[in-house]
Amino acid sequence: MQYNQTIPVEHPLINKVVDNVEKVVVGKQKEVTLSLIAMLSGGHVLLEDVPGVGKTVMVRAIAKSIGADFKRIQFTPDLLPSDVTGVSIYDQKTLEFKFRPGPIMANVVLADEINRTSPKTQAALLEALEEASVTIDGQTRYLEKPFFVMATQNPIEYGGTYPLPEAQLDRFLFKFKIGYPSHEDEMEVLTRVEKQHPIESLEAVLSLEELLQMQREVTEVYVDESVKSYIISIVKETREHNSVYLGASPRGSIALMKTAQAYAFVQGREYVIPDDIKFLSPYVLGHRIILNSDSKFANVSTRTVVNEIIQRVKIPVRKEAVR
Amino acid sequence: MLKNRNIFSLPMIFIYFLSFMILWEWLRPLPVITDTGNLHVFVWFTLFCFVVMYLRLAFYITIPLFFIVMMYGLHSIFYEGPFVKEGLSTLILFGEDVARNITFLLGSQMDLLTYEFRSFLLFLVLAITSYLVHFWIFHLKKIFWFLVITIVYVTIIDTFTIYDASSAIIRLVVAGFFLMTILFKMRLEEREKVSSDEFRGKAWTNILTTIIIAVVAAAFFMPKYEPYWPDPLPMVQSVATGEGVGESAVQTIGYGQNDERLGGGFVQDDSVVFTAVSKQRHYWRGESKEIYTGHGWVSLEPELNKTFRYSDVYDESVAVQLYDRNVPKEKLEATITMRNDARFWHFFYPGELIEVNENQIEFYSDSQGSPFQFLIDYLTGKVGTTNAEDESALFLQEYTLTYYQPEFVIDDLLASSENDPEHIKEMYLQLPNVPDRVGQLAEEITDEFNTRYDKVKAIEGYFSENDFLYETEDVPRPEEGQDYVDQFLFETRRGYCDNYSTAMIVMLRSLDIPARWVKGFTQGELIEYIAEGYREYEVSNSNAHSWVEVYFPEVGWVPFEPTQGFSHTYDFVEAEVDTEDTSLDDEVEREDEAPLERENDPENPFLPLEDMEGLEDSASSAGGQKSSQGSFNFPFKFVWVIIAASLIGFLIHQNRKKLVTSLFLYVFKLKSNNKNNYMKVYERLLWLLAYNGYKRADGETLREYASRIDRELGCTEMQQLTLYYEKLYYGNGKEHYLSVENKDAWEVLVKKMSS
Repeated sequence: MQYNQTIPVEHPLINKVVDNVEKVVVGKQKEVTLSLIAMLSGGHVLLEDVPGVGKTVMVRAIAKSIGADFKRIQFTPDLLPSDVTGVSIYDQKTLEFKFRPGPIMANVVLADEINRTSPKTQAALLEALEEASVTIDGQTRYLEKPFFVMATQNPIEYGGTYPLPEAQLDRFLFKFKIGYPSHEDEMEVLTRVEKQHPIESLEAVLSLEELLQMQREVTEVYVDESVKSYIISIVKETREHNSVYLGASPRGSIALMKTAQAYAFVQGREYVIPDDIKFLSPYVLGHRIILNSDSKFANVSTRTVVNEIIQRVKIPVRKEAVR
Repeated sequence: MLKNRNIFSLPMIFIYFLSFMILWEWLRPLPVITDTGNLHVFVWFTLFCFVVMYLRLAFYITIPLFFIVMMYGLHSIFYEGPFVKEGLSTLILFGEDVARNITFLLGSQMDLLTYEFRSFLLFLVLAITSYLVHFWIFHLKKIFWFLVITIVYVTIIDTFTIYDASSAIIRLVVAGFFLMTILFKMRLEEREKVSSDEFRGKAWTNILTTIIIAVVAAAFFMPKYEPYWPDPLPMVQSVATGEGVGESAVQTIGYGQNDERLGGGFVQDDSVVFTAVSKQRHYWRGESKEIYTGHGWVSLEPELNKTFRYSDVYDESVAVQLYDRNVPKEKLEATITMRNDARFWHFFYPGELIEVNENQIEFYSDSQGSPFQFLIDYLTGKVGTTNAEDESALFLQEYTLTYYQPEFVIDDLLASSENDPEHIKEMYLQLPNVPDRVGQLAEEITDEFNTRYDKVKAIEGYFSENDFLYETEDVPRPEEGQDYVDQFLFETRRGYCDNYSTAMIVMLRSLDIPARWVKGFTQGELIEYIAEGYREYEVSNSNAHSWVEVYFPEVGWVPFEPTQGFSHTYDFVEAEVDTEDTSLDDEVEREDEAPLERENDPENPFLPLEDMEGLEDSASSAGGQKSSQGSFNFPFKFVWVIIAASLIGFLIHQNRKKLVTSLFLYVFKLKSNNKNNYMKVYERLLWLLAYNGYKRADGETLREYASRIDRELGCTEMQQLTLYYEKLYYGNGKEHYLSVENKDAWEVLVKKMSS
C-alpha cells in the first residue's frame, strides 16, 4: 500500500465528513474514508495498531462529525460481558428490574484493545457486532442505528492477551492499520494541538438520518453479474492459493460486495467496477485468510497473498462481443 | 429468420431497386465486350441477390439459397432437363467440373477454364457485389463511389468498344441522383436522431423528382460540344495491327507501307481479327520482309508470282517452301474465319503452307462470286487471292489450309554449315549504314560461340538477359537521322516486337548471318475445344506480332523469338531424345544459362515458350498431340506466382499494423450508434491496442490499463472511452455513448497508437 494514499471522495456529504475529520486527524484521509465506508455498509472496523497513533481521536472525530452518540470501552482482562452490554438492576422503589444499558448501546463505539479481555467478553461484543442486538437476561435488545464499532488490537504485547479467533475476525469488515504519521504530518499535529485540542471545537456536519439514508442508498448501488463473478473468483482464489491454510468464506464475498457498493457510492458512482474490488480486497480479505505454517515461517503476509491474487484474477471483460 | 422486420419499407425497396439498376449497367455491355451469352440469367440472378439482401435473411439461409439459385442458373444455361429432376446430376457434373478447373487454376491455365466454371465465377462475383452494394446502402448509406466507378466503367466501355452507353448514362444519372439524395437524407436523420415518415407522399419527394427530371432533361437537350479528341477506336485498331480492319481500300492492306517507319507507341486493342481451328497453337505467318532501311522494313516491289524460291525445291506441291526436306514435319490442317469484318486479301498460315483448299474459300459478299486466282509472292511468302479478271484484291472470310508443321532438331541446327547460297547472301545480308557499335555489340554477344545456332540463340536471349523492357506505349520514335535499332539497343532499351526482331536481325546480319523479318499474329487465345483434337483460337489485333527467321543452309528458314515475354510455337527437339519425358519450359532456360550450356543439356528440347503477352493465351495443349507441352508448364509460372504472392504478403505483413488500424478506423466509422456497438468498438480497441503491443495484464482493470495507455501515448482519450464502457458494462447503462466526441477520441487514440 502506498503511503499517504487517498481515496477520491466525490459524494458531497461524505466529503464534508472527511474534511471535517481531517481537521483533527492529519494525513489519514484513506483510513478515515475506509472507516466511513465500513459505516455506510453497516459494518465494523478492526484497527491493529500501537497506542497513540490517533485511533481514538479519529473515531471520536467521526462520531462528532455525524452527530452520533460515542462510547468507548477499554477492554481489560477483568471486564465482564455485562460491562459491555449493560445490566439489569433491581429497583427497590419500583420493585422491578431496570435495565441499565452498557457502553455498547451507542451509535459509535470504540472498543479499545479487545484482545486484552477474556473470550467471553469478546464474544459478547462480537454478538453485538454481528446481530446488531444484545441479549440480556434472555431478552434481546436491538441496538440503535446507525451502529458502528471500531475495535483496536495491540499487536505488540502478547502477554496476557487473548488473540481474537479467526472466526471472530471475520465479523469485522475491514482490518487495517493507521500507522505513524509522516514527518510533516506529525509537525502539523503538534501545531494543531499546541493550544487546544481541535476535537473540542469539532461540529457535526451530518445528521444520523442523513447517514441512515445514505446507508440505504448504498444498497442501491448496482453490482453487475460480471463484477459479482469477479468477487467470487477472487475469494475462491484465496481458498486455493498455495500459501493459504484457510481461505475466505462466503461472508468474505458478501463483505467485499457490500464494501464495494459503499466505496462506489463514496466515489459518486452508481455501479461497482472491478477497480473497487481490487482496491478493497486487501482490507476486506486480509484478516479472513489463515496462512499455512510454511508461509508463516517464510514471513509471508496475508496482504502479500491477497495482492498476488488480485494481480492474477482476470478482470471481467465481455467475451461474447469479441466474435 | 427475417432480420428485416420493417419489410415493406417503400423507400428501402426503392433504394434497393435503384442499386440493382446501377449494377445492371455493369452487366449490359458484357455480351458486347466478351462472349457472355444468356445475359438474362445473370440479370435475374442479380435481382434475386438484391431481394435476398433486402430481406436480410440470416447468413445460414442466404448462402445455401445463393448456391441453389446459382446451380439453377448454371443448369438452365448448360445442362439439360428440368432442374427439379436433373438438379442432382447437374450438381455432380458441376462438382467434377470445378475440380478440373481448380487444377487449371493452380496451373494458371486460365484459357482452359470451362464456361460452366466461368459462369459460376461470374455468379459469385455478382453475389459478392450485391452484398457489397447492400453494405454500402444499408450500413454506410453511401453510394457515391460506386456510382462514380460505374460511370467510369460505362464511359470506358463506350469509348473503346462498340457498346453505346448513351442511354446507360442517363439511367445511371437518374438512379444515382435519387439514390444519393435519399441516402443522404437517411444519413442526416440518423445523425440528428430524428425518424420521419416524410418519405411518402410529401412535398420532399415531389421536389426531388421534379429537380432530377429537370436536371436530366436540361442536360439531355442542352447543346454539347463535340468530342475534343476523335473517337480513338479506329485509330487504336489501325495502330495495333498496322492493318485496316473494316477498310476496303486495297492499298492500306499491305504491310509494306506501314513498316517503312517503325517506332512509337501504340495502344492495345483486343478486337478479334480471326478465329482459327487447328490441332496445335501456332504463330500465324503473314509475310516476311528483307530490306532494312534504318527506319523500318520494306520488301522488293512485290512482283507477285515471282519465281524466287527457297533454293532447294524438293516438293512442288508446297506453296511456300521454308524448310529443308530433311526437317521432320507433320502435315496438319487449319481453318481460319475472319471476324469483325476484318478484311485481308492474303492468308495467314502456320509453318509451311502446302495448299489452300479452293473449294472451301469463302469471300465477303462484295467479293463473292468473282472468279479468283492465287497469288504467291515467293520472296515474302505472302499468299493471297485476287480477282482472276481484273486482279483486284478479294477479301477472304473463311479458308482452310494444309501445312507442314516443322520440328527442328537442334543437333542439325548445330551441325548446319555456313555455306549460304549466293542469292541468300545477296538478299538477306543487306544493311543500311548502321552505326558501328551495333556490330560491335553483336560481336561481343557472340564472341564465345562458334556455331551459327549458338550465335543466334545468344542474340535471341540477349534482350531478356539484360534489362530490356517490353513496352508498347511509351516508345519514342527515332529522331531524324537516327537508326531505329541503334536507338533501341543503346538509348531507349525498351520497345515491342518490332524493336526486338529488327535489332536481332540487324545484329545477325552484321555477323553475316542471313535473317529476315516476319510479321503475322501470335497464337491468340484458346477459346474452345472442338472434336478430334481440334481447338479454336481467337486471334485479336493485340496478337499482331513480328519475329525473326534465320537461314540455316541445311535446314531452311528457322524462326526465332527475341521479344521479351513471347515464345514462338515451333518445336525444337534434341535428336533421339524422347520429347514426351524431357520437356521443360523454356523460361527456365532464359533465366539460368548461357547458350553454350544448352547444347550439353539433354533436358532442354527447346519446346515452345509461353506467350506472355496475353496471359490467357498461355496454356498449352493438354490432350493435344504434343501433350508434353502442357503438363510441365505450370511449375515455373507457379514459382512466379508464389514469389509475387510472397512479396505482396511480405508487404502486407510489414504494414499489417497500419492496415489493421485503418481497417478498424474505417469499420468504426460505419457503426451505428447504440450500446452494443459502442461496447464492440471498445473491445475491438482493446484488441487493437494489444495487437499494437499494449497488452493488458490479466489482473489489470480497464481503468488502470486506460491510465497506463494514456500515460504512454500522452493523451486522455482512453480513460474517457473507458469511463463510458464501464458505465455500459459494469453499470448496466442504457444510453449509448457513441457520441461524436467519443468517435473523435477513438480516432485520436488509434492514430496515436499506430504512429
